[in-house]
Amino acid sequence: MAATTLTQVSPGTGTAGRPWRHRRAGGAGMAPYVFLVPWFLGLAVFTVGPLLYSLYLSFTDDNLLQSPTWVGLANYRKMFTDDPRYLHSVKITLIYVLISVPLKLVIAFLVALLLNRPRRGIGLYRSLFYLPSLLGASVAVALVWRSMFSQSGSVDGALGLVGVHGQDWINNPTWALGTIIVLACWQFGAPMVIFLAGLKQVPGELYDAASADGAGRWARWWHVTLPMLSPIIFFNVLLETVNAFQAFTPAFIVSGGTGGPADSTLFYTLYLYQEGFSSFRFGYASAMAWVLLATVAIVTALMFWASRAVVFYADEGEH
Amino acid sequence: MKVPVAHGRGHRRTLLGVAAVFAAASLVAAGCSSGGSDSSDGKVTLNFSWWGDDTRAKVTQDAIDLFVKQHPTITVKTQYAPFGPYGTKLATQVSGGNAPDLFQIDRSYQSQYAGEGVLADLGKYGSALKLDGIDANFLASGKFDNKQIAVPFGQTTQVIVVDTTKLQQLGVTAPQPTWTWQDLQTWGEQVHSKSGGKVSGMADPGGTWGAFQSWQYQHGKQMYADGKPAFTQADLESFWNFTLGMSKSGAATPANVTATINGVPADEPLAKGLATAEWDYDSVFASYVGATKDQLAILPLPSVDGKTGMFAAPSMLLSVSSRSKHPTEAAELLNFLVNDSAAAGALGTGRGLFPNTQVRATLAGSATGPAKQVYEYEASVQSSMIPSPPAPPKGDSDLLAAMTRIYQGVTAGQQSVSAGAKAFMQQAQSSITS
Repeated sequence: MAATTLTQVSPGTGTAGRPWRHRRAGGAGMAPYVFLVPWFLGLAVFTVGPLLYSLYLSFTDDNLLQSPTWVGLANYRKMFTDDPRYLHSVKITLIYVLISVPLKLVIAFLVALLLNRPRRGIGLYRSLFYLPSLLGASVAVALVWRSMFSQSGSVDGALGLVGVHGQDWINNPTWALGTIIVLACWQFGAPMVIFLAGLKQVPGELYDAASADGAGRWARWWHVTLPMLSPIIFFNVLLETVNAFQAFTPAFIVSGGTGGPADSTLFYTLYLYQEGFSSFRFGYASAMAWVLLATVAIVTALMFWASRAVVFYADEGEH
Repeated sequence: MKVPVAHGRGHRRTLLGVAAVFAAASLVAAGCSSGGSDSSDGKVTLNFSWWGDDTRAKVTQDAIDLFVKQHPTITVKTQYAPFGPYGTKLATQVSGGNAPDLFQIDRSYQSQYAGEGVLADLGKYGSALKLDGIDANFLASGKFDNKQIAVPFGQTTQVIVVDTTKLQQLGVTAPQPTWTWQDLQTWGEQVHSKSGGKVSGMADPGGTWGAFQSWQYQHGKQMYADGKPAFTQADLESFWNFTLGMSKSGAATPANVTATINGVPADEPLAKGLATAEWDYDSVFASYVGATKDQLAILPLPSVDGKTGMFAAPSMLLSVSSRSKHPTEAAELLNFLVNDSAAAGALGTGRGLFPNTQVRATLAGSATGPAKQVYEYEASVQSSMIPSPPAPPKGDSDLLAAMTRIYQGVTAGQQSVSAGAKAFMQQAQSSITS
């Protein structure tokens, strides 16, 4: 992909008057690849190599200490037939993905709409609303969350002011996952900024034309904003979904690495981590990682397929 | 922020897809890393790894400095980490062939390491490593297949830590050392009612694997036989029915407080003033003392028909790597750490009682503060302790976590006691046999 871009670009930007440029103009040849060698090496050694090795491990009973023996599909079979905790972690993760992603995106979108209006000090507001995302999925935020939502934490105190009965959110299996979903929603900054950029790119003349045709606010939103924004929405949904499937830090920190209380925050990746790095079942953990990879790939493919029906690309007329 | 809106659509979609899959793929590639060192000229460099906190780091370094002074040709490089990450790091190093020469090992996973042949047989070093100064029965806790693959690096015993200051404030008398579980229940309810429901008698021990162990021994039963679980679903149910009853009556902490118990004394209900007693080992008593301003006392476990089920447990053990290039020097360092009175003076009781009994006796006389309390307590319960059980089979460390996790579900009312006990037995079957 990179090579195509380069060859396309070089004739256009070729600086005339530099003979060496002309000599090589025909075939940029190996040069780009030579420059990319360090990157390729890194990719091979740190990404592709371990990736393939983990694929191999997923068919073994590797436990770090002994040399792995081949067990065929046993790890994959165990996941779906003989490991209730695995299925439980799948359930927890799906709940998290299905609730946190739409909720977070709706919040991000609404805030983006608010911040899209011209008003005094709008730049400041935008920065302020983006701030939580700079802190990101960091350990510090998760720690703060943990103390806010635990007994006699600030959330408990605030609710107490309006007469809501005190509750230890973090240490109650019914609510613990909810607090992590709220944490995810609070970090709406990244999709919000993307929405905002998208909103700014909707050509004003479309709104003018729509108004001239007698479209009201709602109709303009439905027939202009939403279709023009659909690629952005798709991009955000895709990215957030993939991220949500891999959420790890908040659950790890909030539950102290246990996925507790009572496995109520046992995210897929957290269980994977426990199996690999606490119980040393690296073969099994590798198999889990590959199932996650396959799942994310399938979900992504399904989303692309579904997007054909609902996503409108402004350049469609050109083709 | 660059967001493509009017580019070629196919191109953009492929890019998105590739990005998404790569994001997921990076998770698959959890890598490995390792480090090691070697020596040339007549000098020998030993690597020594252990788990613990900064306080322990200081005393350990003091002891090592003394050793190096005695052995000028040996350099000792140390590494330490908290308990959890330490286990991960050690396993990674061992699997990468970079095991430290000498390392701390936990009772719950020593069988696994020994089974893989990565621990050297410590019986063959003769005068470099003398083991006759350690109580034979206690020393046996470091055996696997009749081979001495680890040496206890500290002796500890089960205790109930009691906050006497708080009890005085509440006007509740401290329990007698000869108490039973029934006494504990009555006493705990008293604490609960006198405090207006704000303080529980005890941090609920229902999720503590060690508490269940001693419960088994109190009832004359065993934990393991022939490498398989000897405890039954009924045993677990009787234990949990009792602890759950305590929790419901206020004698023990409610579910949400119990869920916070994580093994770090400073975070526990006692330190937070939510309970007046905790189940634990006396090797961490000093940490409890450091975590509160209150006066603390130590009591033996409540008994069943006079049996406390308590035993001398290794708080941790030391092993030499079977692949060490300098096993003799590593054995010498081990010997120093478990036998030498200078080492004992430097190490204190931060890992429990010193392994060499003669040196221990000398130290006991001069101990002060929490260490003195621990020595006096150990002396008072010595005669009632049962012989130390052998190291648990491989997989035991899984059950430690499973106990906490499943009991959390039981106390939160998500699962009945019998359903929880059944789930635990399933976990035990799969963890211990695999």
